[in-house]
Amino acid sequence: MSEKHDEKNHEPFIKDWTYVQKEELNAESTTGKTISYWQDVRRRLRKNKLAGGSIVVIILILLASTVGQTLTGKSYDAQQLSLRNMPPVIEIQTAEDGTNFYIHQDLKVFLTDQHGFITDEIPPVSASLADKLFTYEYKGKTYNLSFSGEGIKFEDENRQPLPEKRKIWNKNYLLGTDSIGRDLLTRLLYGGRVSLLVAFLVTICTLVIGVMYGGISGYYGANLDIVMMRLVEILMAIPSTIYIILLMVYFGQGIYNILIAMALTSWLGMAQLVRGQVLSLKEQEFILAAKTVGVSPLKIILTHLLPNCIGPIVVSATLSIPGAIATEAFMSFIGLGVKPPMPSWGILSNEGIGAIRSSPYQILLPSIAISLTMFAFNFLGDSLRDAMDPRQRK
Amino acid sequence: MTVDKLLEVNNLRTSFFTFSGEVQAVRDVSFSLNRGEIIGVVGESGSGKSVTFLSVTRLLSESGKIVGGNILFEGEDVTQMPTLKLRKLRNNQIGMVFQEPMTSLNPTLRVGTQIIERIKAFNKRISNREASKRAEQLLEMVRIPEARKHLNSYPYEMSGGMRQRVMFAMAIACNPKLLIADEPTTALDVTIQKQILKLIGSLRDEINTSIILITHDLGVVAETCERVVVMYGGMIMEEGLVDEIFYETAHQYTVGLKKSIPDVNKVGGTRLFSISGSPPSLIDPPKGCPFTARCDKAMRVCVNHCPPYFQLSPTHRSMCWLLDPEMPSNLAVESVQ
Amino acid sequence: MLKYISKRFAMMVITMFIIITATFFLMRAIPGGPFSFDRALPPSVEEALNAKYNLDKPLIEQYFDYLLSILRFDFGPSYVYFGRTVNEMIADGWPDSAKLGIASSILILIFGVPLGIVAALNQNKRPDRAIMVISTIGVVIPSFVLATFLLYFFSVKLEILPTFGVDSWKGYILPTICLAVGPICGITRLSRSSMLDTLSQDYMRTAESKGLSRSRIIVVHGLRNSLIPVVTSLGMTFAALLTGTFVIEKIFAVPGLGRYFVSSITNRDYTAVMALTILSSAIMVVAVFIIDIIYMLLDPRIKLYDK
Ligand SMILES: Nc1ncnc2c1ncn2[C@@H]1O[C@H](COP(=O)(O)OP(=O)(O)OP(=O)(O)O)[C@@H](O)[C@H]1O
Ligand SMILES: [Mg+2]
Repeated sequence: MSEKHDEKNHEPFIKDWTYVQKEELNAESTTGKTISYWQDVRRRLRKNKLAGGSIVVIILILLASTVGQTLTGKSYDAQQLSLRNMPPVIEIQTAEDGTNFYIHQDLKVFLTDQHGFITDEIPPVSASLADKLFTYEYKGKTYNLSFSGEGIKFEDENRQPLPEKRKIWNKNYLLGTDSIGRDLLTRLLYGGRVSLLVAFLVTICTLVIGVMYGGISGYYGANLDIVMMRLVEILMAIPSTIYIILLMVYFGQGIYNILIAMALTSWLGMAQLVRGQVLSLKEQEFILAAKTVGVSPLKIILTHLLPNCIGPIVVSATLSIPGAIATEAFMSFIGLGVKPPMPSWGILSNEGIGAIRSSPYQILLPSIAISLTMFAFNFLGDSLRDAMDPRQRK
Repeated sequence: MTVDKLLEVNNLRTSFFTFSGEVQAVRDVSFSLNRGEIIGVVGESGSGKSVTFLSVTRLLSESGKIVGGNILFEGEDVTQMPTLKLRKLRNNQIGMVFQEPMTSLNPTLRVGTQIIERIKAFNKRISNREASKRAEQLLEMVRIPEARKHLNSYPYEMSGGMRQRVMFAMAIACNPKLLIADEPTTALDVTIQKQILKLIGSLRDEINTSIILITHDLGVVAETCERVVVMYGGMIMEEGLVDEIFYETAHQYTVGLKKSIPDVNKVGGTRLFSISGSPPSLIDPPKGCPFTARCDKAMRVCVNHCPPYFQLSPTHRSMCWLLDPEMPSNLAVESVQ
Repeated sequence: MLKYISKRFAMMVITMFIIITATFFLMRAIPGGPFSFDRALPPSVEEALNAKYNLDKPLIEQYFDYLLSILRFDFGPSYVYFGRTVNEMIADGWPDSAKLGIASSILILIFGVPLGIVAALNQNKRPDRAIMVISTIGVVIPSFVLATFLLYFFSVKLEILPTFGVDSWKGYILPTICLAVGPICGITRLSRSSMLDTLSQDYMRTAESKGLSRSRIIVVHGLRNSLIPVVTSLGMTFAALLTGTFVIEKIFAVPGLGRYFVSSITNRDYTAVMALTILSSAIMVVAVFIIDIIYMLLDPRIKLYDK
């Protein structure tokens, strides 16, 4: 018997020839404890910063749109026509005697206190459209407002600009007012409530209808399944926006109507998803066992099948929320959604788009709100899916 | 001894770099293959057989890296080969047949196209007519009936056994010097398995290549091969001529494998033996012999020290502490029983 | 093959029939006829109008009349713009919509798939990361929100592009981009994941083991297989873009079909609403049919599945 040692085994060591017990070895070799699937998901979700950020943003948005509107102290449909199109940030000009003026782009002159709180509007004492010059008097002094080609100028009696100009936050209306003088902040918050409410309710309807339909179709299979899924296929062939539009033309504008129209059209994908899941699960042994023992089908679906396909369902539901927000906004935007004066983010966008030149904040604010919410829900949904993807599990 | 070596693998180490860490799939593997030789590589699932031979043609997935050692094919180091040379090597030096016949063929291309593209890859002068004639010939060689017709078939129109035959036809299309068949029969049913094995035998006679046959099944090896490499936990446990492995078994793992060969003589006999326990983690591989945890004769030395190879004959080596001449003889006697 | 096509064709016809029927009865079911305006018409006038438009006939008869006229591609007169037919108005609006649709479809074709492939081939490297971040944003953001941001930036702040109208070619730029961004990003993500999926398939390793060139492996083996799932999405997108889009046409004041659709809804021009619904659905359904045929050409297995 010849013996050849490898290079690395040169180092001498004491060879211990005693036997070891299997138990001893196995105790050594089992490394770490096994963690359950959901613990694993939670752990991975917690590691994901994007998911955490999204959850924070979503909570803030939910808080703002549920309680926020009561804190502003204004109502979403109270109009203050004299204070319309007020931007969130105003430029105030201070005269030598300390009077603060705010000159609105619609050629209106307002008095403000030094914090930017608008107290009064002063009317011109004389107005000459031909010279493009308005004259104002306040506390014994005369001011001129000219609006020739170079833009709007507000000057004192000697046609000199006022000594001090500064930009300041609008204290009356933190986010300004719309074209008929309603508080945009309140409308934005209330609009968020409407948009989110619609989105959540539609998602719940999607879940209920989709899970029932898909569950029944998948569970009973055979001919029932074929008929039910053919129906879904045909309905899916109709472009869903057109389908919603038709329903809305039929129902007319209104929050409940848009809810119903969207719920009626959004469950198809969920039904297909659930059916697929149920189909792949129902042949598994624990289901077959439950069947042979004679557990009722409803109970099998609810207690055995659904919990085992809850992952994809949750992901799909999370991702359907931003979809619903977009659809509602879209429908309201083309005038077939929520009925004004009730605001939703789509309505606000619709109202704001016309003033994109003169008052861009009116369209930008709801746009930002929509984007932010949709990003948050999408990232959360994506992170959930990544966390649950068993292929990544190692 | 100057037998012409076709393939020589020295201290090969291959790892996969995954999220959960470095998976050391192949740890210090060395062996060589002579021209015209047919060897078998056996081992349980996960023992690193596929990874070893994917390393030989550098077909590892993105995360897999050869981290050490070299692979000499006709004296040239494959690990250092530039791309074009490597492609030529793959094209007409080494043919590979993979373990999954159902998914290894492109589902949207005709079988003929998939064979012809190999023939034409480095042989621009060959005409389409000649290439398809050659493809037809190849299909005949792998005993596919109505070869001409099947050139125009899609893989989905064929059975698993037929697809595996197509894989063989594709592998030998450019007269490779080496044919690597990675568990060509695992996914097929028993009768088809027999046919494929017969095919491998006849191919060797017809085109005179060296063959490496990877399998789970020592029985298959006994029928087909001259030499056997037994792998476990990313290492070679034992290597030797077929007779040596079967009649002078030196490693406890091989003993276990041998017991799990179904005995054809005992019809409806006892339950198939299988080694209890499962293979070690390759992310954090054991310090000692990888088989220790499942070995009936594990000793303390096995736990902490990897045994060297003990050369039992010029062609037979094995890494097991039981072979160490320093071992007290009373224990040795006990272990033979 | 013929069986497959005829089956799909039958499916298409049935779907269209259901859509037409549903649309017709939904429209007829709306409370108040098409001529019950806010200010009520004198009964005699309304009766005369109803007679003129055959609305006094039994519903079933109207339905079959409508079916027949649709078979002749005749969508009937407009209820709001007296003396004009819906066909004329469609002919007016469609060119503008189609121009926008074709322009954005071209953009989608140029950028969508290639970006996805580039990302997939550089998985987890810098180009992939950049493409993924941008395309995620682009997919999520609704087109009208994107439109407002672009309008604000390019037309209001920089004043280099017109705010609305398509009088000059410049007017087409923003709407085309707004229409294209979402689909480009969607297609990019889809083709990336599809390509990644294909790249991990066993047959790609087989192709590599044959010593083929990388370009052949990617184009012949990778692209074709990874395009199969992308085709549906591309086809549906093109079809949707072709019939005009409500929001973008409204925002940019493009006198296209989409805007006409919206205005006919607000004006309660029922024949127009029906016509446009049916038209858009028809284009969509035909697109699905064409997609199915392309599918069959790309993936020989389809015939098998469909048995
Ligand atoms: N792409 C990969 N990423 C990570 N680990 C891998 C990868 N491919 C293989 N491995 C690991 O490498 C080890 C060896 O795998 P290999 O495929 O070589 O086994 P095998 O002996 O061929 O088994 P089988 O008989 O099942 O084919 C396994 O533990 C496997 O988990
Ligand atoms: Mg293998």
